[in-house]
Amino acid sequence: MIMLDASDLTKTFTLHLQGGVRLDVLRDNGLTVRAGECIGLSGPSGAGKSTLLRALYGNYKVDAGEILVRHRHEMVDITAAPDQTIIEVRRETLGYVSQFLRAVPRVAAVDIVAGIAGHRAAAVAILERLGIPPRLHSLPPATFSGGEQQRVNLARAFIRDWPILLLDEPTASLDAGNRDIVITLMREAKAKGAALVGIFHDPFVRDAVADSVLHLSPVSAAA
Amino acid sequence: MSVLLEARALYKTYGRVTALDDVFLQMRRHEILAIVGESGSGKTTLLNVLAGRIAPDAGEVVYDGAPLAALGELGLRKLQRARWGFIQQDPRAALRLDISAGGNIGERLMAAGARRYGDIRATARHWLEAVEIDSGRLDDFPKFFSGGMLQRLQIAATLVTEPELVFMDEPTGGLDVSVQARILDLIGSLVRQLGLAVVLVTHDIGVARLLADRLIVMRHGRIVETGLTDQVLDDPHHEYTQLLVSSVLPA
Repeated sequence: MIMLDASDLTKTFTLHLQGGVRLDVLRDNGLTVRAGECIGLSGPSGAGKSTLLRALYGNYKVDAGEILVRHRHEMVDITAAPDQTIIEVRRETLGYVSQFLRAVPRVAAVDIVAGIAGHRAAAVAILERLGIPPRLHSLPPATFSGGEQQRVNLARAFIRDWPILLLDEPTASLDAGNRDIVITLMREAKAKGAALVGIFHDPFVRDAVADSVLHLSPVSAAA
Repeated sequence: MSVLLEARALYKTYGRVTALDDVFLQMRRHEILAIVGESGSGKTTLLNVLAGRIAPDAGEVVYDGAPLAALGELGLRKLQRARWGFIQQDPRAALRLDISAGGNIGERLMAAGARRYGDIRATARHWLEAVEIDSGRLDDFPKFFSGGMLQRLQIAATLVTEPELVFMDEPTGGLDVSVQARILDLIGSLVRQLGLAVVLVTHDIGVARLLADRLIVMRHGRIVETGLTDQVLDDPHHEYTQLLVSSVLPA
C-alpha cells in the first residue's frame, strides 16, 4: 500500500536580503514509499536532502509538484491542503524527527515525550529504552548533552506508531550502542507497517534500515 | 471544523496612519493564532478590533456566525464576559490592586453569575494553584506581587470563567527572561488542557514558534504572509518576513 507519493517537486529559494539571489534546490524530484518500507536519501551536501524531507512534512513550501499522503484512508496533497488539514495530518499520520530538540523551556523530559495525551508510563518506558536514566526524566532537557537531547527527540517520535515517519539524521550524535537501539526501533516501526524516509549519513545505519536509496544531486545552474 | 472567528476586509486609519488595510483572517476552535510584526505594524489594532474593543472603519468581524456589529453593545459585552478572555501586557491595567488576589478572581466569576461565597473561594483557590501561586496568598493584595506573579494572577482571573477564545497582547512583554519561560510554559499547557482558541499578539518570534499553530505577519497594516508557524518561520517568502526571521539572535 502506497503511503507517500511525491512527484515533480520543484523548490527555489529566493533570498530577498541577498539581492534576490535564487537558489534552485529541487527540480522534478519525487519518491514513492509503501507501508513497511524505508527509503534513504543520499547525496552530497547541498543536494537538497533536508529540503526534500522538510517539503514532505509541509515545513518548506514547494513551487511545483504534489505530495500525496495517506491520511484517514485518503490521499491528501500536502502542497495544496489547508493549514488545518496539515495540522491534523501531522497530529495523526505524519511524524518528523528533526536533528535538534525544540521544546518549551521548563517542561520535563518525560512530559515532552508523553505529550498532551499524557502517556507517562509509555514515556518512561521509551526513555529508558533509549538509555535516558530515570533521574533525568523529571528534568527539562535544556541542560542535557546533545546526544541525550536527540534521544528525547527520538523518544517523542517512537512513543507512537506513526503511519509515516520522516527522520533527519536520527543517529547523528549517538554512540554505537544507542545507534543500534535506534536501528531496532526503526526496524520495529517498519515491521508494524510504517513508511519511513530518512537521511542517514552513517552507511551502517542506511544499510541496516533502508530498502532503497534515492540519490540526489545538486540542481545544476545550467539546467 | 467550522470557523470560530473571522475578519473580512478590515480597514482602520488613525489620521494619516493606516493601521489596518484590507485584513482578512479565519480561525477555528482550539486553534492558536499568532500575529507578529514590529511596533506600528497594526497588530495590536487588529487584536482590539477582533476583540470588539475598537470598531473598524470598514469591514466586519464575525464570531461563531454572528457579526459583532449586529450584537449591540449589550450583546457584545455579554460575549466578551462569558465566552472570551483578554490578557493584557500590563497586568496592573487588568487587575484591581486594592482588592485581594482571590477577590480579583472571584469578581470575574460573580460577573459571570456565580453567587455562593464558598464555591467562589474554592474556585479562586484552585485557579491560584493552577497558575502556580501559593493558595495561601488568596487574601493578599496584588500590589505586593512581583511582575511575573501579577501576570499569572491575570491569567487565572481570565481563565476562571472558562472562555472559549482568549486574546493575548504581548503576555510575556515587560517580564524578565527567566519569568517569561515560566509564563510561556503555563500558557502553553493551560491552553492545550482547556482546548482554548487563542489570538496572540507578540513581537517575539520565539514565543510565536513555541505556542502558535498558525502565524500572521503584519506590516504597515497589511498581512504580508500567513501560514503554519513553522512554515512561515523556516521558509519565509516575503522580504519583510525574511528580515524578521534573520534578525533574531540565536538562543
